[in-house]
Amino acid sequence: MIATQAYTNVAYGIKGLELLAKGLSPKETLNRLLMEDLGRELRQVAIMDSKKREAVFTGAGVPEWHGEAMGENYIVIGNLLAGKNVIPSIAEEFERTGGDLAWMMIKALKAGSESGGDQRGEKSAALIVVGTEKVEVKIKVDEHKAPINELIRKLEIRRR
Amino acid sequence: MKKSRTGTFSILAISPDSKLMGVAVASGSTSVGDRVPHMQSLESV
Repeated sequence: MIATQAYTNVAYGIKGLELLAKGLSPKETLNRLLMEDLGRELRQVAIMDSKKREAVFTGAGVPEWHGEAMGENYIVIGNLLAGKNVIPSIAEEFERTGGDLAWMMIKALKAGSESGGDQRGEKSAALIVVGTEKVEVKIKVDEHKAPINELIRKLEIRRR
Repeated sequence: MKKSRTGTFSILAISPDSKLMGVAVASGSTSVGDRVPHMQSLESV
């Protein structure tokens, strides 16, 4: 799975998944994508595979605050954030909180928002969780005053 | 390519038993779910 952001180049997602499916590791995939992209210094990208192999990149031209955090089971990336606390807040909440994966991730995202989040506030959010046989959760909030709360509401509706 | 004047933060995570993996993302721009997260099923990775 891949997150491609900052001056987003969607090709990182599409082509990146193809490279992973061919058996390249996340690091090999990332290196290939960066090599072929003249705008690489504007990109922020995270890649993780089912073997928990991780690769992350933040270009020199990605706007502050930006950051990365990596753990055994997660990667956090962000840019144009309100402060340097946002990324560690997300990582700490993910490590601290319990429950199923979707809930842990959404709580982590909310912690990021509460510690400042986007410099100008959030407008959209999304959550996708896949299992071995199917897409378990796919929720999008495209435009909302409190998109993470809306994501939580939609997740809770699914579980009634 | 989309110009970014708004921020984005994302978490990619996998369950300890590797049976679930996911991306959660929030952004100051609209419809972040259409751009940032890219997923395939666990079987194909």
